[in-house]
Amino acid sequence: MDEIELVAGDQRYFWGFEPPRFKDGEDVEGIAGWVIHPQSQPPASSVVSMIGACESAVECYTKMKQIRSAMEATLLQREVARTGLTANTLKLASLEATIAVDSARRARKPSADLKTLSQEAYQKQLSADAAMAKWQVLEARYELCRARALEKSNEQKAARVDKYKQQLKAARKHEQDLADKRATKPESPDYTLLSRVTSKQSTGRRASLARWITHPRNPLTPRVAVNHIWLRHFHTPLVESVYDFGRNGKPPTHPRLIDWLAVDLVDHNWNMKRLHRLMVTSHVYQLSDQPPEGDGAVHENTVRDKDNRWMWRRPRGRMEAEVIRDSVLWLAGRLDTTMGGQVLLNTLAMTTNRRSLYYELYPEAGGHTKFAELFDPPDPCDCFQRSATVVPQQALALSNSDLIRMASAETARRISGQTSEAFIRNAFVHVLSRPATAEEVAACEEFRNKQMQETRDVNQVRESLVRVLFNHNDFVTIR
Amino acid sequence: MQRRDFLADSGLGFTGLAMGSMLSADGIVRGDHTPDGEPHFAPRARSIIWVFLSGGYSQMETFDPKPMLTRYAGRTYAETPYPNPVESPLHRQRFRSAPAEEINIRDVYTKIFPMQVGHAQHGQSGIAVTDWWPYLARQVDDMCFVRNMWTTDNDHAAENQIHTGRHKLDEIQPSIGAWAHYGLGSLNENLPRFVVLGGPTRSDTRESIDSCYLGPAHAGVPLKLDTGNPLAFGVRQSGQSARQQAGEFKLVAELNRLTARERPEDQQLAARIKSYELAFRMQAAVPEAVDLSAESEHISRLYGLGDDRTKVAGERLLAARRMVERGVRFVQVFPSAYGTWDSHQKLKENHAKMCFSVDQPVAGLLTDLKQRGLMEDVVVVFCTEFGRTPGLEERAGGTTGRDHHPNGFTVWLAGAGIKRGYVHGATDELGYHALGDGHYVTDLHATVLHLLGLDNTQLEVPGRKRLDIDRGNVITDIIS
Repeated sequence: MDEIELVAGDQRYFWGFEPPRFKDGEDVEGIAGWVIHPQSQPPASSVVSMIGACESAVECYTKMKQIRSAMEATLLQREVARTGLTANTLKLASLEATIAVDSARRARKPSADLKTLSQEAYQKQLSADAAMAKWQVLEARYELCRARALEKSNEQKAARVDKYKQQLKAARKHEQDLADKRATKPESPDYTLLSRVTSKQSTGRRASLARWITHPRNPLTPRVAVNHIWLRHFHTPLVESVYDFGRNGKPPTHPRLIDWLAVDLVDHNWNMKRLHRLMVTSHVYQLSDQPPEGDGAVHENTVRDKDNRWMWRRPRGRMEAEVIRDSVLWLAGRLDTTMGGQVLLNTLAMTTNRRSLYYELYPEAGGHTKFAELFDPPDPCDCFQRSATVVPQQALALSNSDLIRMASAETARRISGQTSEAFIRNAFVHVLSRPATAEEVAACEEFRNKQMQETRDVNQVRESLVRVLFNHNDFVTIR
Repeated sequence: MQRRDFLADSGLGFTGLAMGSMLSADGIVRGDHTPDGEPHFAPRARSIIWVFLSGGYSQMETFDPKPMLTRYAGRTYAETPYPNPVESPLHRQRFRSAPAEEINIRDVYTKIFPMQVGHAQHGQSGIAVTDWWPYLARQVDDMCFVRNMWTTDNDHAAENQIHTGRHKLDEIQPSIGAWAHYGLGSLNENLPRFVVLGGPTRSDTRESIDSCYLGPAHAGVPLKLDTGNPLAFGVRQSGQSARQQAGEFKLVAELNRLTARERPEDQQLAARIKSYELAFRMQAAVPEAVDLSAESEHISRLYGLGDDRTKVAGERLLAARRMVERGVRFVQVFPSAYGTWDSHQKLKENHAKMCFSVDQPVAGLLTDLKQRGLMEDVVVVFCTEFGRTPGLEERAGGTTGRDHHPNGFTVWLAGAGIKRGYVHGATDELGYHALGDGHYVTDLHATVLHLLGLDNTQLEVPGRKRLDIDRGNVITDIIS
């Protein structure tokens, strides 16, 4: 026992004892003159109990301690809040002083009173730290009281009392350390900087790395660049392992082409626009995705090069997740095309209309929008190649989502057409950017007639028809 | 009928299948239809649960304990009475890398690292496993261990390799699940035939569930286990009747088929048509299939759903059982995240924790399959991409782990058509080389396909070359 406290009315009597030189539960034999009595049985322990004999007294005593702790906690609560306010006010002042001197240091022309400012910041930091430490001590005391006020039956009581005892001890030590520091060094310009001040003189390491990467005799960089840009225009790279150009990578399908483009890129001062233009004005870019028309027979290339490795037709691609969402909004007349601005929460992507580019993307789980997740979103940890999967969940996203429902209604409203045939033809042009064939019109007419029996609401049927076109393979396909 | 329409239709499976396959044999129509959905011979199993643990678990500290490592701990291979495994010609035969000589250096850690855990024999069969598998240890009499697996990549592209059968330097091939999907018809038209739970582990390991030239229609369909939202966008909007939606889906299919006539070889389009058929029916079937709350309390305890440490694996494996119960052909389960078994350092801490996370759930799965009589229909495969070195990995001053080791590792199988309480093959006394011919990863594929009634040598797509190594050999010794 290291303290005794008596309370009589509003009077409090308190005795503190010097702590013993041994720990609770420790075998005390041999410490401070303790010896084992011939009749006693080691190990001895320092847990002394005066009232262990009487059970009801123990119960009363425990209850009393518990109530007292609860009372003390209530009294402390206000004190904690007040100290917290003071501490944070001082912390704010110290931060302001630190920012002032940090800015003065970074200024092009160093401020003349830098030393005074630094000393001021140092002192404000000291007082703020001391106040914070005091606050932490009080907080730990408060929590300890609350823990002690818990019912004995509470399973967590022992663990929490122990935790806050430790915390109180650490907070007191910290407070003492700060006081010592203040005593030994009351004044100094050595305040703690908010951020590191780097040398104005660069080591040049980054510059030399950059020069090495972009050196005209280093063929790797332009080849990688060309491969990535090619991939984005043609949906298939020249080097299959876009992430690995080393000896563990795959050889290019067109080694001379990639080299020629790489050299051209460097020769024209890394002008990417020129490279894009070269690609999209090329013969291969303008090819049809279909085999050349023969006389009804299957084109021999279909057999000889099924995968179109040699680019005898234009490769097809699927729109990226972002393009699908933006296209749907655009057709509905809802896409907000404002450039620049705040990054938005990705949870807002289905209910707001900014371009997909502006919604956040991060590597942790859930870093994509629910919609994008189904259409192979980019992996924020790499910049390699997107896959273009076909999973049934995509059909559901393009049918059941609020976004599609809104967009199909809005898009249908924007498409003119007095007659149903005119509407169908206009819808094909508006949504798929191509005219409908006679067979397609017939299929849609039949659909319209059947749906009219279900709802009788012509707007709803038109909306349905637009939704069908959003789900058409041609909508998500680029060719 | 136009010749062209006819060709396209046969590719999409709407005209006579026999004609379609005749034409595809001529290489005219792309083989994106299943051969005929029927097995080649009487199958032993109807579904597979393929459990893959990413990162490479140590064969020694799991299912192939090696007491000699502890006896000769700290000595080099040369200082043991056994042949020095580093000098074995098996290295050169099996190992493959572009600059082989250079990279091979990585594997040569010759100082023996002792076993990091105890082991004991269990069951009637007396099969030894380590003490990190208290639950599975009670089931060894139902399991069949293959202790002489090997692969050829010593880095994590081996994760794709065990699924596709090819080293990353080669052309990409369809994954094992895609082949099963390609070869077999559906047992439940309302669910995907090839379901993926917890994967793929990363964007660059998508090959492990992908279908490559078989076309996207045969790729695995990842399903999420999210109680609040069992199927993304799976609920029809209010105001739309099921009939109206069915009408929309029907028109989508009709319009897409019209386009497909023009583009008979477009696999994306063919896959999209099929995916719409499935999507409509999935809306009801998937939320029901992934509803784990329908399981009784004792089942969720069996899979360890109550403990945060076993919950993730438990949920995925329980969902896998619900899938095979409903007729899904191939369920590929990733109970642990990418690379989580990769223990270059602190192997003891890593494996103690990782084994704990899957031991109870996987053992629970076996118990559950058994009590439902599903062991007669389903095969569970438990595997990883490679083993770990018997030597201590000393890279960067390490003293606590093992490096990647393609030369020998252990997988196990249990269920329909598989011997019970059996060990096939072995590694040498130090756990280094798979002895005998061992089994390359495609032997596992051939075995799994064999159990499904498929002959891997007959799975062939015109114009696509498969090598002998892709086809593998059935491990007949483990078939009951």
